[in-house]
This record gives sequence, structure tokens and C-alpha cells, in this order.
Amino acid sequence: MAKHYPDLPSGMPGGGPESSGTGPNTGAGGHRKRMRQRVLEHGTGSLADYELVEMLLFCVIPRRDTKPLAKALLQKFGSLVGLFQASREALREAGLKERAIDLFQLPAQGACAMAQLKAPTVPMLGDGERLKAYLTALPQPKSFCRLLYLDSRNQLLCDEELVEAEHGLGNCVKSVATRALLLHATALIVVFVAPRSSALGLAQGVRGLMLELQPLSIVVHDGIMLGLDKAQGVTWMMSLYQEGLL
Amino acid sequence: MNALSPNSDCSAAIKTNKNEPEEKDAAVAEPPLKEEEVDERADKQARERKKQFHELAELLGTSQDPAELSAYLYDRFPSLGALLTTPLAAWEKVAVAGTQFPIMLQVLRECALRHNRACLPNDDLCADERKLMDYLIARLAWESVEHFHVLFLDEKNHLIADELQSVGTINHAPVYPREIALRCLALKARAVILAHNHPSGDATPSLGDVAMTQKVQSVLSVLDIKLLDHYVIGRANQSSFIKLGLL
Repeated sequence: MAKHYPDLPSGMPGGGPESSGTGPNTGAGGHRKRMRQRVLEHGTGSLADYELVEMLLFCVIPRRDTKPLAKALLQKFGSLVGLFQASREALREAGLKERAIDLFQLPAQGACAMAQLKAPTVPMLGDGERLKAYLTALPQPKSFCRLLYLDSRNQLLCDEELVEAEHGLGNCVKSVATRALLLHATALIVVFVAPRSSALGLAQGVRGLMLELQPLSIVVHDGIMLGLDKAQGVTWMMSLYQEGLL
Repeated sequence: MNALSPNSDCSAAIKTNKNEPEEKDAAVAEPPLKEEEVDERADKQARERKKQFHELAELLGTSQDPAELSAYLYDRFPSLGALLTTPLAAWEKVAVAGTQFPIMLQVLRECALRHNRACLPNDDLCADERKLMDYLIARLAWESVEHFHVLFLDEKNHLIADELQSVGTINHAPVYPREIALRCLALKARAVILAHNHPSGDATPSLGDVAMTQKVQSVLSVLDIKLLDHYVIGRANQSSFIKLGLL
């Protein structure tokens, strides 16, 4: 499977239909590769309108130079938005095939989709009650330790098991920091499931994590200890913060 | 345990969040819908999304068999908006997407943004606030760190330029009033609209936002340039300094 998806930047354009007999950096294939490289390096903001159309056409026209057609289409429909709002009829008259017509419907659909927002349905874990309810409702976790990554409004971004935590939190600062940064989290809650070590020991680990993450502006809100029973689920819960251990 | 059950839909929310957030919202907005109707609506939306993602995979991808990619997209992304606004870096480890597909998504996103921008009113930008919000939401709401934009207008409130002033971190983006003033002079702008996003989703302006806006306003007033509004764009809601009485 992997051979169908070579990594960029490879010698030839990414396995596309345009991988023709031309050399790696000549002809239409080389041009396409350079255009894609430009997007990778500088983003799409610097592309001219006709270049955007040109790149869209790459998808439906193998090999051939698409610039003349892109420019002709823009001229015919007056502007980029004129082209994207043109009816299928008009596009057909302009000589486009069905696949290309399908393709030119996408920008308007995308414009509409990106302007439509729905409030994300993520749980808010701002106070102890909600946190408790959330943890109680969870399916029984297998791992000893799990981390709740939160944003600045205490919305849950991610709830992950931390396998390495078995040997102390000190060993996983790097992986936790990496995850938190990638998730754009500002806060964490550490949850210990059926801990066998003492609360004091766990609190020490959490305090260590707190100190390490401080320079990254990531706060550790709390460490929660959970008692688990196979039949009854969560049997007891204790907040290290509320016990004054942090 | 039963005493805690009111919040047990938290975990349900996480599960549904992935696939049918729109259906869930719709159900909240229009309470009289029966359960089967909600299901039916969700089914219909899911089918539409499946079809749309399959078309995308087929048109923009290079793979011989787009079914695998479209199945991946369908599992991962709740909407076309979410798919288009996924940054390039996030695709690096997704072998099934190949190399061309993520790049073409960026091209498509740019096309969509230029489409929205072209739909802005040609004369008075403030005449159609809905269109302006559509544009700003498409541009800003999906970003995962703060982006600060300045819209420069002429004396007839015609848009001269929309410029990204700065990119910050999750809860802050630096703004330099002096630089904004300088750009106004260069572009011969007579009025300005500020806009930035709150990645947390909630668009309530922070104290820092208010203080910074006042600073920009006082700098611009020296040059006789109007500050028309400052919009804060969040995923959950949007706010306007004018409407909040902060300007």
C-alpha cells in the first residue's frame, strides 16, 4: 500500500496521473511538482487567481499544461468567483467535462461550509461536580493513569491514557508536554485509577509535573485518585488539591 | 451513581461529537423533533457527508482506489469545514491521504476564502454584516491559535485590504497600534475594522482585548481614522465591540 503514496519530496511528482515520461523537473509534471512545492513552502496566499484554477485543473487534466485553460476560464467568467458561481450549463458550454464541472462546484460548497459553525459539543470540566460526573460516566479504563487535556475555558480537548506513568510521572514529562502543545491545551488534570501507591507519593509526582510544565504556561489543575470496582464502577474519588497535597 | 447521571451525556457528547454534532445541535434548536426524525435527519446528513467526502477523495486524490481515503475522511471529520481547515502539518503522518490530496485541500480552502471575500459588498462593507461575518468566520474561526486581522477601508467603507497583522498563541496575539496606523497611512485608509479569533470558542472579549482596542482607537483618532468595530470570532459565538457598548 505504501508504495502508492510516496513521501514528498520524491524524485517524481507524487504518483499522480501526470507522472509521464518527462524528466523530473521538466515539462508539465515538473511544473506541477514545483507548484505543489510552492504551496508546501509558502502556503496558498501568494498564488494568483489563475494559478489556483490551474492547480484545481491538475486534478482532472492529466499531463497537459493547464495554464492556458485556467486563464481562458477566468477571462470567460470574469473573475474567480464568477467561475465558481457559474452554472453547470455554462461550464459545459465552456468546454469542460463532467469531472471538471464537479470540481468547480467544490469552492462554493467549501465557502459555505467554512462559514457555518456549530458550537462544539465538548464537555466542560470547570468544577469538581462536572469532573466527577464525567469520570463516573467513563467506561472503566484499563490503564493506571489518564490525562485530561483542557483548554483555557476548561473544555475537554482530549482524554488519554498515559501508559508510561506506571513508573512515576517524572519519566513522561516530555511526552505530556508534547501532547499538550500539539493539542493547544492550557491545563491538565491527572487521574490515577485504583492507585496502589500513597496519596503523598502521587502528589509529589503531580507537583513535579506542575513545575516542569510551568514554563510552557500549562497548568496542572489537579490530581484525582479513583477507586474502581468491577461491578460498581467508581467507588471513591479523592482530589489531591482539595486534600491540600498540591 | 444515579445521582450523577445528569452529566452522563458528557461521554455521549464525546462520542457523538465525532460524527453528528450538527444533528445534535439541530435537535437542540428544534425541540419538537421525535427521536426517529432526529435519526432520519442524522442519517441524511451522514449520507450527504459520505457522498461529498467520496467526491473529494475521488477528484482531489491520486489514489486508484478512493474508497479507502473517503472512509478515513468520513471517520475523522465531522464536516467539510473541519476538513478544509485542517492544517497541512496534520496530514504528514496520514499515509492514506498521499501527498497531493492535502495540498489540493489547501488550494480548495484558498479558493473558498477568496469566494467568500469576493461575496463581500462591493461598496459599503458595513452594509451587510452577515456577509462580513461569513467571511471572518471562514477565515478565522477555525484557527487553533489567535490570528489578528485588520480590514482597511476607504472613506466610503469600501474594503481596500484585509491584512493579517499577527499570529499569536492560544490565548494572545500581539498587536502594535503604531504598525496599524502606519499601514493605514500607506494604504490611505480612512476607517478600520479589527478582527481576531478566540481558539477556545467563546468570543467574550478579554480585558486585554478591551485595553488594546482603546489604545488602537486613540492612536487612530490622532490621524483622523475611524475605528468602526472590533469583532471577536469564536467557534461557539461571535461578538462585536459596538454591540457590547465597548466602542
